[in-house]
Amino acid sequence: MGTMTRSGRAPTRRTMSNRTRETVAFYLFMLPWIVGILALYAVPLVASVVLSFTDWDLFQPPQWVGLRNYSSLLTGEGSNFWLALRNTAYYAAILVPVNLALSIGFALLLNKPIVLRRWFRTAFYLPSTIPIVAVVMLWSWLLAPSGIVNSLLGTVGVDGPAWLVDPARVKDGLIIMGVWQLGGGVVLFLAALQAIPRYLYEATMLDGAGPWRQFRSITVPMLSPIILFNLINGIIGALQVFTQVYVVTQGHNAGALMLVPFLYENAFEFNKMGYASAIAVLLFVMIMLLTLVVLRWSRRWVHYEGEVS
Amino acid sequence: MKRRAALRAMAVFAAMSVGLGLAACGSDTEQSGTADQADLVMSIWGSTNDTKTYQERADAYTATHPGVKVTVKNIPIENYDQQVDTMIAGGSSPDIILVDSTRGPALASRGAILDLAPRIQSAGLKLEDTVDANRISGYNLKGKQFALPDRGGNLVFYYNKTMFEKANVALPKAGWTWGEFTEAAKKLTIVEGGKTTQYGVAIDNWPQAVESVTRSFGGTILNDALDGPAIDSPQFRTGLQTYYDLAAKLKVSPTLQDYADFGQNVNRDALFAQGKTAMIWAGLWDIPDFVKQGLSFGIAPPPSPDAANPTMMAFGTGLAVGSRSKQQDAAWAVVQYMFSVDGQEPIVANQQDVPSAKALIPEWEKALPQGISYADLTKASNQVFSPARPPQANQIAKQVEQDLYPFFTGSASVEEATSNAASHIKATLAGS
Repeated sequence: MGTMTRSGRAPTRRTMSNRTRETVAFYLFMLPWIVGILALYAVPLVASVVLSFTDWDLFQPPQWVGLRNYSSLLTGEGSNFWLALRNTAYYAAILVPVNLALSIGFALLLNKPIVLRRWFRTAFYLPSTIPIVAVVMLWSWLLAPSGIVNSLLGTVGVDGPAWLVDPARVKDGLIIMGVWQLGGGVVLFLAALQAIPRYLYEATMLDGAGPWRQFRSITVPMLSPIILFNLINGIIGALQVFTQVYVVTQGHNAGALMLVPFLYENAFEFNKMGYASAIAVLLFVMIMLLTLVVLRWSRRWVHYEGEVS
Repeated sequence: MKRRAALRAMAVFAAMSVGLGLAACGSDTEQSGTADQADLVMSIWGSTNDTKTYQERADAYTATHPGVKVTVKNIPIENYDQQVDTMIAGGSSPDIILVDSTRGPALASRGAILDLAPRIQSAGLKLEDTVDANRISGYNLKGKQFALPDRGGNLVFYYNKTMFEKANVALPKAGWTWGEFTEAAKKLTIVEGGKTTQYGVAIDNWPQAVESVTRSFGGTILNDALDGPAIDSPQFRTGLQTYYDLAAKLKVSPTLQDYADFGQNVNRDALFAQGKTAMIWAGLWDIPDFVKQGLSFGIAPPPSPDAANPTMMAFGTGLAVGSRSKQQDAAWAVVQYMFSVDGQEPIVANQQDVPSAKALIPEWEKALPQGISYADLTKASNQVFSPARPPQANQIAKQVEQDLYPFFTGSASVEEATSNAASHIKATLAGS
């Protein structure tokens, strides 16, 4: 009996301890990730939101100022927030769609059995592997007032601007640099194109569909998840643009004052941590909202294979 | 239960991380060590010669005070502010901090460096006995002396002797007027086939030159009380317009667009070094480079439209004591020694820079490369000015640079650019 009792209890205890052990193991395995996400992501994120309501110069204890950072950002005299927002919106609104359209176009071309196809594929991807500082060096030479781009424009009678100098044109110069680095998107589209079953094209061909009809009714819907992915990543990347702006303008050309460089200078040059945190929070909210809008809108046009609609 | 426990553990962890982060920001300033017994850290930026020279000066102090050791920590200039900030916020403030007159006020207003005035007073130290009085104000914030001048030097005017002689133009000298200067610049500009092959002068939007030239026209960026802008004054505007006209109207200097054609990082100094311009405003630190290029050149005070106004902004550095240093007494003693003539001697011996100590200037002059005379600049030492800065100096400097940029690229008038800058300065000073 005694044994029975013991053996009756023992399995329960063993299951418990097994479970506990499993739990412990789970948390142990998760620990690096939990520590990482908490220390490097969640805590700074929460801290940043809290700090956005304070005045903090890094040395003195933060002073609670309520919504003052937000009001001086949004309505304060001489606030550069709207300028930075306008510039960033302009940059994103042109770069993202142009990049998407060109990436699809080039992917379609590179999917055709053309001569030197492998070579072209490499050539298109290569620019996105070059460090951004080198890209800037290259393009500041190409886009110089008497540089190659303007010489080419000159041959068709266009008087090219001082791309990276003129405050009114510097954003366009940065967009050109951004477009040149579209290789990453091209590779994704190329992979997606190759995954489209041939029979779909063959079937529609038998039904008499021309290339344009095929593109619209097969290629685009089949690529739509990748388009969505590139669109969202493109928007986030464009709104967070930093390095090329900083290297090109070194912060002097307000024509290219964008949100993240604006945040950076306030935080790390002027020690206005609270103010910079408020910019970060606003940027975060904007990105979240835009992403949600795009995701909602995407229900209308994104087609997932195997999905029954 | 378990989930709750796990959540609680996570919450505690999160709270701890926040707590740790904040605790690191409020470190204590308890003193440890005495003036005779200390291990100090001194933060500097600059070259290996800078490290060597500061270490030599520190070691000279250690030689007479064996208990005090100083480790010189050289931080790249691009990260200097951030790294020093991080060290201070992290509770390991450098004991001695190298500053200049733009980064000093920000540290002083945030309480990161000591007001040395009481210590200067109790030591019976008269700064103007050692250095020119107009160098001291640059390290003063609302009556608080946050650093002692260390290295000196100021903006000067370089000219290429060969080009002047070739064009048969009299060399620049003290008392040179703006009119004489522009005449010379025109004669020294050479245009061949519609392309300028040699510029009379090379100007751009370098803030120190802009501030010096506008000052020589009687303009300042801020008012005397440092509580409002003066950048939209007629004097500043005239100065700025006249300066930029050298490029835009007289075409004796490249414009910013022209610089973009010369290539990345080709600035006025590079043009002078390449023998493509006859004159530039620049710092004395360029001398070794130009000598290396084999140029025959001279230095003089910049041209002035009005002899009553100063023309040369003081450069140089100052030495501050970290207010979170635990060894402030020892740090102050070292700073005081480094400020003395003896303490500055290695600056000259190692040809590091210009010493701020007046008594060392003749010796420094002797060490100049052959053919370069400092005599005219000595005569014009009253032309040096050291603008006092408000705590927001960094932000204002950057904002002004941004606001004047459209003017320098020809897309905004002087009125638009300076009015814009003025309203930004007002907002910055008001604390937004």
